[in-house]
Amino acid sequence: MDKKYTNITEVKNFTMNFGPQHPAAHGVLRLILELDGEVVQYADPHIGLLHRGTEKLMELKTYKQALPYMDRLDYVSMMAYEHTYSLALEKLMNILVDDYSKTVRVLFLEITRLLNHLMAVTTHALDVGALTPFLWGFEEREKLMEFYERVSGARMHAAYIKPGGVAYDLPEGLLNDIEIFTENFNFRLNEIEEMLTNNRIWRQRLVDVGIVSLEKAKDYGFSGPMLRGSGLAWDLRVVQPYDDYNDYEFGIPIGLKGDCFDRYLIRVEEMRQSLNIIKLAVSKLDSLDKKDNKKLLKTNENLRAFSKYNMEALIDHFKLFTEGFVVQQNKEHYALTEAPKGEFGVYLKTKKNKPYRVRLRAPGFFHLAALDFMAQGHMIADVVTIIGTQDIVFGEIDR
Amino acid sequence: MAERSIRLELSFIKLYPKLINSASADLLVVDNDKTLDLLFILKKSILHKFYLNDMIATDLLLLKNKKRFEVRYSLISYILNYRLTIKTLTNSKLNSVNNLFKSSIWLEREIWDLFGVFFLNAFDLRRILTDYGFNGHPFRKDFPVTGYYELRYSEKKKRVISLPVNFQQELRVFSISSPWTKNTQI
Repeated sequence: MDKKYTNITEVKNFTMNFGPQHPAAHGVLRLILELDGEVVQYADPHIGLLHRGTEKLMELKTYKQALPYMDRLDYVSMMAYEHTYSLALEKLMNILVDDYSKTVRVLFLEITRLLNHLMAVTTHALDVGALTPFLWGFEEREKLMEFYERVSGARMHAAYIKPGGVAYDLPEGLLNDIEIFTENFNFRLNEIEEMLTNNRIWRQRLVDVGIVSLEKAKDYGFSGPMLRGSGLAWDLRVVQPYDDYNDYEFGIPIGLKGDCFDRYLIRVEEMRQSLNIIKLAVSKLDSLDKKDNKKLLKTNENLRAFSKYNMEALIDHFKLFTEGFVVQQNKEHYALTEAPKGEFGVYLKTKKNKPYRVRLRAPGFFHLAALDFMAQGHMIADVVTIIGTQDIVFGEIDR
Repeated sequence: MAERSIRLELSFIKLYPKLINSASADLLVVDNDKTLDLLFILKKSILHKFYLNDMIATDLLLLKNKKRFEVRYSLISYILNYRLTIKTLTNSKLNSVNNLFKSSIWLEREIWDLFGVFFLNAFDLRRILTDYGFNGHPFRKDFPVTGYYELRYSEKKKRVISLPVNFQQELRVFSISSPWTKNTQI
């Protein structure tokens, strides 16, 4: 009996499995944590549990059919991803988008940013232990998704922003309701901030957790609020503008320390700015003359209306929807936009009516790769904070 | 933008006149034994300080290229606000850039996993997106979209088992070529 126990040596580190079903893992993240007591020594994220091979599947679809896959990548900021794909295709096909569609896009892109940041901030708070902002935030998200529904018929997977413009015109009265929403949302945002920003527990959990220096952030390929949190004023909407973001003035909030609290503040500030942009876009849409700007593009569904009266249009419509359209072969373009989570990129290499290769640059992929160094030396509970601040969604990371 | 790219090109030509085979504004095609040198300069030079933003691999099998894979390094310089792509071709392996850019660790894992391009001296080349114990490289053009194995839960064994794929109907890919095709070109 004694002999058996003499063999026992002191083991310091032990390995623990976090996820894939842990609610704080934001989906299907399996994390292997090597712990020394409660302190994380090494974190090894295992991803790919949601891998669907989107890029490969898109190679089998025509350009038009491939678009709805983009919604399903980051399922909390849907239109932002459609938009990038549309931009890439527009560039390849030399399509110019009219001002009206551009403004509608900006309007919905910013609504999407609100959707995403509401989710990011409030679920982050939920993971850390504050339930209330989550409930408030999701009520607002519901309203925003109602705007999605009114414009496209789907609450989440909208497939609204399409190459050449947007799928449908705005319905009657929508702009009015969005305006009412923007007026009220400011107060909701204040309420959420009241609950969190000066909350002692929230600060204890976030301040000085997951500090990323600027050099590290660049080295790991960070983007979006993660990069801005480390102190670089880098927002593609400003530095490499697309659509008509040139016309809107807004600042780039940056963090001083690069910790989780900075990134939280940045997300809240971005929500306020999005709100401003939404207001400006609504007033701009009111002033734009629709008839001048609405062109009937061949790739759009508008052809459907003609097909009721015109046989040629019917054939044209049928062929567009079965064969798709042909883009010049072996052209390639890499479009990047500022999605709410960071820089989302779509690389398209064309081949007749289907893409030859699609590459999707998911911002979360790069952030998650840095989880190891961000979590090192922190307590195991801080890993949850760091996952929250990275705003991880597995639809995009696993693709 | 154009001015920047000219400035950039000049500095390349000064630094490494023989490095670049073909130079355009934002795409350089480089032999794969020279990529490491070029990326080293691009990262270290205080004039541009490029960082690796993305790596894009493409299987060129259907394009009947001499080399099978094309790998692009998409670099970004925050100083110049400029993106530069470096393209290199290979049949099987490349030099890893893990020592230069931390972001490349997962990117190389992904390319190895999906395309089977091997990276010499890489820190970590485990599979990343595919399942544990997966065989083959799914993004190669000769890998069928339906795959070779399917998973299902076995009530008998009380665990998930994998079986060869069995379809009631083959996956149909429509590639219609019609006399109108040329007209639909936009």
